[in-house]
Amino acid sequence: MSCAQHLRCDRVGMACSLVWAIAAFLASGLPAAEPLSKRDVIRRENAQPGTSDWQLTYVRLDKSGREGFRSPGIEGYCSRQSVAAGEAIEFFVSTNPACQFTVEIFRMGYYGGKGARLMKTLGPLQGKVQETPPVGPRRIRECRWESCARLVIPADWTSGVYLGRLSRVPNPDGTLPWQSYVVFIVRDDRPADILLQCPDNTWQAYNRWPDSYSLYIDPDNKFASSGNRVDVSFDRPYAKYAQIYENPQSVGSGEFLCFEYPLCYWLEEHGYDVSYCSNSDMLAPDRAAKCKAFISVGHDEYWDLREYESVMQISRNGTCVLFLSGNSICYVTPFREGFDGRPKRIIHRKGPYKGLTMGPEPSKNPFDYVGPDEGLLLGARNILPVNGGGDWVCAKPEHWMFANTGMKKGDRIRGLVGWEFHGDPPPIEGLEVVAEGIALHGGTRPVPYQATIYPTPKGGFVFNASTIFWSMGLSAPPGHMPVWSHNTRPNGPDPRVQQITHNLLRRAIDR
Amino acid sequence: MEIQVRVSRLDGQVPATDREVFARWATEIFAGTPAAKQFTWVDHWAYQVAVYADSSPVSHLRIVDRTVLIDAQPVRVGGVADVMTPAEFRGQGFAGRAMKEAAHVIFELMQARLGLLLCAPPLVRFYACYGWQMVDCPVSMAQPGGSVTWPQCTMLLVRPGETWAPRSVDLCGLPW
Ligand SMILES: CC(C)(COP(=O)(O)OP(=O)(O)OC[C@H]1O[C@@H](n2cnc3c(N)ncnc32)[C@H](O)[C@@H]1OP(=O)(O)O)[C@@H](O)C(=O)NCCC(=O)NCCS
Repeated sequence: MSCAQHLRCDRVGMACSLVWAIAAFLASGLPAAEPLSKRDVIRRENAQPGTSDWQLTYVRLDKSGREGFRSPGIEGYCSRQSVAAGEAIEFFVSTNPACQFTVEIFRMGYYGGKGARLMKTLGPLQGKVQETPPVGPRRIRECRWESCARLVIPADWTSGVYLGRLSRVPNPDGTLPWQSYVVFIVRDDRPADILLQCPDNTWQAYNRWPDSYSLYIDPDNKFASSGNRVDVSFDRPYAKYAQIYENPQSVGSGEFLCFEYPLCYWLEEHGYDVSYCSNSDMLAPDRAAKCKAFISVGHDEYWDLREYESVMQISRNGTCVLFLSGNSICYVTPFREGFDGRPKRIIHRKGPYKGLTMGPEPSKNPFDYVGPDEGLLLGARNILPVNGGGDWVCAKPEHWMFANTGMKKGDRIRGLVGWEFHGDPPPIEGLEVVAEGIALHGGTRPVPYQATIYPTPKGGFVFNASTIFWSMGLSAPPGHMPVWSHNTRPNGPDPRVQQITHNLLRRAIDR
Repeated sequence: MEIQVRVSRLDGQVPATDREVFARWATEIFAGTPAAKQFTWVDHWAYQVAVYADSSPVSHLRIVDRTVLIDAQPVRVGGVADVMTPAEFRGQGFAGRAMKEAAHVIFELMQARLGLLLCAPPLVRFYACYGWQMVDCPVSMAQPGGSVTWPQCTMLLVRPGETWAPRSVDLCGLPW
């Protein structure tokens, strides 16, 4: 049984939404005479009606407890990581047992505090059971499912992270209404103030679908860090988030609800002109070069060499770079095409960037390759042990980035550092250590970390927050999945983290 | 024997590991050659590719980031220079490993359009093994006394599927 259904945005629908957008814009209280400048894109978008009904209520994984990763009742993935207006994206969905299902597509943002806007509902569509792929060469699990829906992104869809909520349609024969997500990014090419990169390479590296097959481990718990022997594919659903804690409600959404979402919510709440991209959109510098600030967020471990060079180039050409992230640029991660030639669908680890081979106690490198020094871009490095948890301790309160925070030397933002961070800053001219201290590895072993900032040509800067948890100091939106590790976690949104982030962004944007 | 390839940026303020070792090799291997004596060569590079066997350096090359003129059009190239394996380590594929990695550095890290290198005729066969092709046209380069023509061989590495047949090449600076 084929379940292909082609969907397009019809002209009437587009015209209606444009009228609605203008009405909402006028109602939003902005002066009507002001031209629709690029800076209004996000404000106008967030004046649209939001909903908190984007979360999953009916989740069932294949097994209970730690062993359950996938959602066989309904699960899916997209044909590409990111898509621009006018381009098509396909949804590949499996339902077991077969049943009808719907896809509600939400754009994630602020929306009056609700966190999402319903953009479109597809279906009901006819689902079917699709094959769980066998273990392939280099341990890959690559699905070759039939497409269930194709969507051409309408011209008026704003760049953002989009969640598709897949829901089985219940019927009298007892089909239960199980749900899961698919996730994709709508990108654009506008010269936005901020380009926010979603670290979807890292989402995929830790994705354990179907039954514990990630870049790291397989069901026998064989740790794959011993060299370049494993491939992972984007052609498979995202399993539940299970890296440092478990959350079945995340199933299908990668790590977005843990790390990127609080930043995206907070930026849009404050009307920042932000556009979104995937790791895979940074293989050339052109897109980001149009923006004043580039943000890496959360856990951004896996970078293709081209990404490293692109961000190096934009940083040297005036775009400010904010690593509101930890364990960033740790492994060289080349892309290659999937089984049917779609580009950038498979990743592997070629070897570490240089940091892991440096520091006082580098581990033996099991790869036959070492990439360039990430510290020359980041301002600090991935030094072993890279993980632990601790307070983010102010080291340089006189720096402009601390303006209006009231922070003094030694002041602590509790629990903000973790669960991975950076240290051992290279001798870059003008580099300053703005926060430093000790994280506890496993609750016992003290490990030093450093947050840094350094100036770049044309008045720019590169900031390294040195923690995966930074965005958790910005907001705690509905549906956010706060994580913890090493017996610690951030204490929630903190006005100092918010003020520092405003200071950095205003400096980047108002030049 | 464990073989490892290490790529470093040389444009930062940070000294690359084993820089002195490679400088010594360059003196020993190249300083006496006629081409080295006859011309003035660049003294800064963008990247280094080094090969290690059981943690000891065994082979090395460097890459220059240069915009040259090909048929009067500017083209960014990764210029491969100083390909060298000390005599005691030769014939074990070490330079070959470095050459394979050089292609990634040129096209991915640098995002350059082409690779370009200058060599003596006996080495053409070696480079051809890694996909490099001969340039069949005059190649000019800067020297302290003015522009001169490179008297030996010039080779290009092109992206898969592209064809290049230059009629003139100007290195727009000192050779590498
Ligand atoms: C050229 C050089 C770098 C090769 O190093 P290496 O580590 O021995 O090279 P590899 O082991 O990877 O490759 C060896 C292959 O290249 C060939 N080769 C090596 N040196 C060669 C030379 N001078 N002329 C022709 N072929 C050569 C070998 O015959 C061998 O081919 P095979 O595998 O078919 O037998 C090394 O000989 C050297 O340092 N030479 C002096 C410096 C120099 O001339 N550099 C080039 C500057 S343009």
